[in-house]
Amino acid sequence: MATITRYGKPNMTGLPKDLGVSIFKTILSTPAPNFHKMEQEADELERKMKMERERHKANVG
Amino acid sequence: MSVKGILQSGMFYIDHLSSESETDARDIEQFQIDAPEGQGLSDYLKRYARQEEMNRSMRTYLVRDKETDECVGYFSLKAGLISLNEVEVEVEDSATGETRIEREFDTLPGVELANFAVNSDYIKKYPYQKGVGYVIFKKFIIPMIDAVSENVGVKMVYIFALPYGRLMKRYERYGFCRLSDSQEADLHKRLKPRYDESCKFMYLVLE
Repeated sequence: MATITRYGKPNMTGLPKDLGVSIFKTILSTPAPNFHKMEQEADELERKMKMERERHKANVG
Repeated sequence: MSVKGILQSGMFYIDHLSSESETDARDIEQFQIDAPEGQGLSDYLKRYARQEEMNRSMRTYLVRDKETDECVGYFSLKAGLISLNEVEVEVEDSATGETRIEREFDTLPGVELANFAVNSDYIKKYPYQKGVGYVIFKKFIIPMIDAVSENVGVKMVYIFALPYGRLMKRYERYGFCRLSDSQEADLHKRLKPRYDESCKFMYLVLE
């Protein structure tokens, strides 16, 4: 018989003191990602997508 | 040429899901997610997304190709927070030097990226277009959340990721972080015995 694994979302509200304080500290001490670098990467990916699409059209056409 | 959608990138644009749009209805009906672990995302879009739009409990956006108007993917956002239970804190009165016990309660506001999926049919049709998910995340999801944070306190974006290594690595590539093993284990204890496994809380701090 196939088994089914059930996934639950952890409750992130009303966190008990020790766990909650440690999670808050972890989150608040995490630096933000480099959004400028991410923007450049996304632009580059789209540039390549456009290039590949044009190349594909030229090959098919 | 008219501008498509409410936000555009080089290749794509997004529109807010409309319960009255026949185009949206068609795209939702045809949306495909091949990965077995993605069936919940497909179910949500087809069965619940429009209803939750109308009752304001979620905001869902469809991503389309600027050139072909094909549906590329979708994502859903909703307001959220994490909070501490009330804790007792000893506070000193600076005037009298006396201490008293006060009950405090703290929250971290955020936006939950509740759903995010790419249309498998689109990916199969254009297999040479790499990084579609990353582009959607950086060009649409982050800007939409940034726009909210201009007017409402938002400290982070968070997700509850299914605990598959490949999926979590993808979110880490997008800039999300995990909690420590012990924190995740303690969170899971709050779930059992009702569930076998926990989705993993992952977060990304905004600038």
